[in-house]
Amino acid sequence: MEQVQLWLAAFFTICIYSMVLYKDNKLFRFAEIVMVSITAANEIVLTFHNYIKPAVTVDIVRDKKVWLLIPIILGLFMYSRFFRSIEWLARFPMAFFLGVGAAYVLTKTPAIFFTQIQATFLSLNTINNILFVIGVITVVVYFFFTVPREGTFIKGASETGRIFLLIAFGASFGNTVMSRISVLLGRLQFLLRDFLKIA
Amino acid sequence: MNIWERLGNLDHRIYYVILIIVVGIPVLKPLGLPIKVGQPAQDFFDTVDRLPEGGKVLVFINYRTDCIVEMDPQLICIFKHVAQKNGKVIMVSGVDEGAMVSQAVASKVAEELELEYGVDWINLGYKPGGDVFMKKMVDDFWEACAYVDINGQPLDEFPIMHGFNSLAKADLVLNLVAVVPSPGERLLQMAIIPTKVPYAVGTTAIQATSEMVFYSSGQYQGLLAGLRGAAEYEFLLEEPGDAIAGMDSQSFAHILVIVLIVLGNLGYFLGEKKREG
Repeated sequence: MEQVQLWLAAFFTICIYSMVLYKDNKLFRFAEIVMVSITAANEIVLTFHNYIKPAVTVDIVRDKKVWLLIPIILGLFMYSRFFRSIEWLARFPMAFFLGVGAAYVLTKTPAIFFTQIQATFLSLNTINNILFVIGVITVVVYFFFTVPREGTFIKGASETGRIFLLIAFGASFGNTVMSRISVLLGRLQFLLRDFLKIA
Repeated sequence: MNIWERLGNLDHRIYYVILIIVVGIPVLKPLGLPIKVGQPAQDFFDTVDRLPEGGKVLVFINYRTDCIVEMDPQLICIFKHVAQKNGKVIMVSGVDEGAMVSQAVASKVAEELELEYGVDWINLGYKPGGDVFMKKMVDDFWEACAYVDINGQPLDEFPIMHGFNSLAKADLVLNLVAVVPSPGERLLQMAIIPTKVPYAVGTTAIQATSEMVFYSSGQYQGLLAGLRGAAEYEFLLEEPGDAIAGMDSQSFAHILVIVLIVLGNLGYFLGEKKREG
């Protein structure tokens, strides 16, 4: 069984890489479709067996928490969109999600946001701290659109903010390269070490 | 056509082949390049190291198969480190594939460390619900997890779960994050700020820049960034593994990317000069 697993993994790895090393082809498409289908099926099965079934068995059937049927019914309303005559029912769960979502964001986000603002109040006693504070202020100025970018101070601060942003994008790009290389590395480790056993 | 124009018009597949060779050679013959530990990884290590003897660590798995190279070594290190402190690991996944991915890794490392399932560690599997699930973990952990582990076994059968009825009971929460929007930030909002449980995050390199703001502001007590972070953790634990082995390939690939960027820019500017001339 383990051998079949190894061969399948190697086959699909090569199928996917055939896209970049050769060109778009049927094997790549096949691997892509298999991947998407398995992922979708996996989520449905796991959600049912690992969550819905035990929750219904314990909460509703055993503990008789019948009020839990209300969210289930609201959830089922979402599927009414497939039937034109009753599609309006989907508005109830959507309204609920929007209301709860907005309230949650308004109550929970400030705690994070204010801590981050607070973290920028640094003593200017190290080069790192000075750079940090200058970076925050100038980037905020860069995104300050209500005042025209005229005058030496605003223009200079805005340009400095742009430089800080470019440096941040550079760092982000470097990290992206690192992540992508890791993915390739993983597949090569698998092919050379686990499959071909030459490493 | 001069050399710069030829390089500019080179078939992109040649670059991919060069990249595969550059990444593959250190896999076949590791060089053992030195590793320097950064402050975020050191803080992550120290946060786990402060775990009280026998303490419980809730590890939130939020990564899929595409990120196993960066994230699995982080999970392995966490298991080894917690085991050194005689701690317990409770894993739960917020993404579908995360449950099975983490189970494969955890079973292997638990067998190696002789940890008993249900006593020293447990995998509660995939629990949907996102933010609602995170909030529910604080109010009633068992209900949030639908009372079962990954195999559908009732939680009351496992000694590790006895008395663990809220996320607030955890001595430490670790979140391995490789999806967007970041479950690192959302767990912070929903559960960590209200309960004030020590909290650290491991993530992929690609997501490190967006997670770094939470570390810099002190909201994450430590941060592991990608394979590099995992390699630093392995180094601190003195348990060299796949991450340290993979850093040679990373370093070579980065040199290649830098060379290509320099060549690309040289080609662009020299080509422009020629056009102007």
